[in-house]
Amino acid sequence: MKTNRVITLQDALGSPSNAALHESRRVVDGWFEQAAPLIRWDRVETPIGPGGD
Amino acid sequence: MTASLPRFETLLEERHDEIYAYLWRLLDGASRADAAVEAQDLTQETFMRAYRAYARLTAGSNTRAWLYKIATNCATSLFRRKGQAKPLDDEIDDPPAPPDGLPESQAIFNQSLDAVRNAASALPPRQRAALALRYVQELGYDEIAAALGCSEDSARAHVYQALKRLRMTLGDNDEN
Repeated sequence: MKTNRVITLQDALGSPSNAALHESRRVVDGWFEQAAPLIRWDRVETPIGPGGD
Repeated sequence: MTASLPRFETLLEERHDEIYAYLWRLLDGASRADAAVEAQDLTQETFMRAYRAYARLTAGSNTRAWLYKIATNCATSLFRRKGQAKPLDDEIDDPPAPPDGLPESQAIFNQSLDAVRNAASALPPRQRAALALRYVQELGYDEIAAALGCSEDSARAHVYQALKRLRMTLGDNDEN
């Protein structure tokens, strides 16, 4: 028998698994490591860039 | 003094998980197993687009809202490619304005999880996005407006209409 309890929108919309988050982070980090050497905004002086440390 | 932008690596480190989770929710990950891979692809696309555009972003910009906007645009493109009838940018041109204030208790339901989950799945994508942005990602209405490409009043209206539709679907008039 199903019983009701207090349900929040976070319950209803759910959350991805840690494994899915980890896999996505691995893919995106891999892409970034390949792309970063081509354009390093943090190493370039620009009027609108981050300007480095 | 004008605030500078963070390094892109910092943005990626700080925002990856919430952007992935947002896209997963837009893709109805709670009900669809293949949403995990689609969200992964869209997350990568979001950060690729962001990286290419990062140098054009002005110092002091709200990078969080900006990333959500890019993510929303990526999801919209996917919905269009899939022929979804109501993509994120094609709903409710002029939604009715909500009454003053939206108490947090309006986002709490005395129903079964399955019932609320099914009702949320049935929401139009733009309304589901507005709810996720407000009540799960915890963005301000100005940031939701930026993410959805609408006015702040429309952002409030989308959240209000989504909650109203949820309660109608659930037959739940409990104001909590």
